[in-house]
Amino acid sequence: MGFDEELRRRAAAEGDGVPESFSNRVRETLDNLPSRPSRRGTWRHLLGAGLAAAVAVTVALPNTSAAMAETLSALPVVGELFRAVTFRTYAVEEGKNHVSIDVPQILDETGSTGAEAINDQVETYTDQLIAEFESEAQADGYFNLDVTWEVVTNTEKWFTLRISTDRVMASGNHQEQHYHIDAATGEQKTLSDLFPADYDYVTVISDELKTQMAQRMADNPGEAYWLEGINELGTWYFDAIDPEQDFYFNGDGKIVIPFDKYEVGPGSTGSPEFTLENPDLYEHILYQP
Amino acid sequence: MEEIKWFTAQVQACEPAMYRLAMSILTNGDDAADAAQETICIAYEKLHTLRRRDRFKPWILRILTNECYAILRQRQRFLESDALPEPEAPALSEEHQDLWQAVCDLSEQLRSVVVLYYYEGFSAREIGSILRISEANVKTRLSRARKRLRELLEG
Repeated sequence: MGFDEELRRRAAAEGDGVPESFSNRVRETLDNLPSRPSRRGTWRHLLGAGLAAAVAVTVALPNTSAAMAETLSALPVVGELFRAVTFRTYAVEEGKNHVSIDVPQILDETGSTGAEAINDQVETYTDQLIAEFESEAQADGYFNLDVTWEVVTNTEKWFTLRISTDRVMASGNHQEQHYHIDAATGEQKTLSDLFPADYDYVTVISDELKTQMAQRMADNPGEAYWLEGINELGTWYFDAIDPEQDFYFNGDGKIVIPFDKYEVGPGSTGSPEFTLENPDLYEHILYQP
Repeated sequence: MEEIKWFTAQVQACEPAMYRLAMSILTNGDDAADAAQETICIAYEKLHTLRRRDRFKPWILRILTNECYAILRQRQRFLESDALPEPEAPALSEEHQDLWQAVCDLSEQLRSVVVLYYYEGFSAREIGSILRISEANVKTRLSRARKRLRELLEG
């Protein structure tokens, strides 16, 4: 038996070796998950608002009959391979509460997996927003929520749909999420798909972002980022992007990383965006719009 | 199957791998449990981004790796490097402790690749993807680990 096989045999013979304390923590964490995934970043401020009680809700569902046809025809056709339309609108106007959610749907004649997956994800997201509002809204609350969409990129190579969520409570908050389709295959793509598996894009992008953040702070004293060494801003600091960090391509084909408010800096910094310029990234990139 | 039931079953199947990988990086049971807890929450929230359900295990181990290094960075900001705790061996039956004990004697860089290669059966390419290092780097580390393990186990 070779040494490699011997090591594998010994490893298998050791069993799982997981102590009870670790298993208990895993089980407790699983037991406390909500029944459906919610996006922590999205819900953080909504849940903190303490809204509840009865609100008159009107739901417009123009996805049947003439209303749907009118909705479809009123919207611009945004491309040849893929296009997006407002499929449903959810609206509430009651006292101080205002909610308007436009639910888009991507249409493509080929029935691609990417369009179907994104439509499901968008619907799950907007359903969660609506369910949360209905369970949390208070008659005396001040609730202002707008969800809109736009097509950011639509070429023969690439399609990107942006969902923007704006809410005003104690302070305004703007959040974005981008959904991408490789038009050649119809598959949904995320940031990790843009680069070869052996390319450390997380470090390359993170390093450039930290450099740009430091430069912006040097150029503008009013703009602050949570970077290592900026002690007065708390213990957490931005060190690396999520491997599936949100992004989109700008008109020049450059990757833009948008951050939600409070994601990398205090509220005064707003929702910053960074255009990545490092040539090394674009030498390794597998897809471009 | 309901989403949460599917997710729970997947995490439970990955529990031994999560434990060993977290221990190989953090060498501390409490920190490993913290990393696992955070990883499970992040994975559940990001489940919609997992495109291939059959790739759940490498996907969650990649998230776990990120969380372990985040904890490691936090820890190193408060402790001098020589104050870091020594590797802590997991509870295993005594007759089989020798390999894990030997693994714990390796450096952190070697421990994680050994766990993923010998205990979890991942390829060098898959390990590179999980640890976000190149395949060549994985092979170099494996070669060094193999040599060191031979010294430790065969004397």
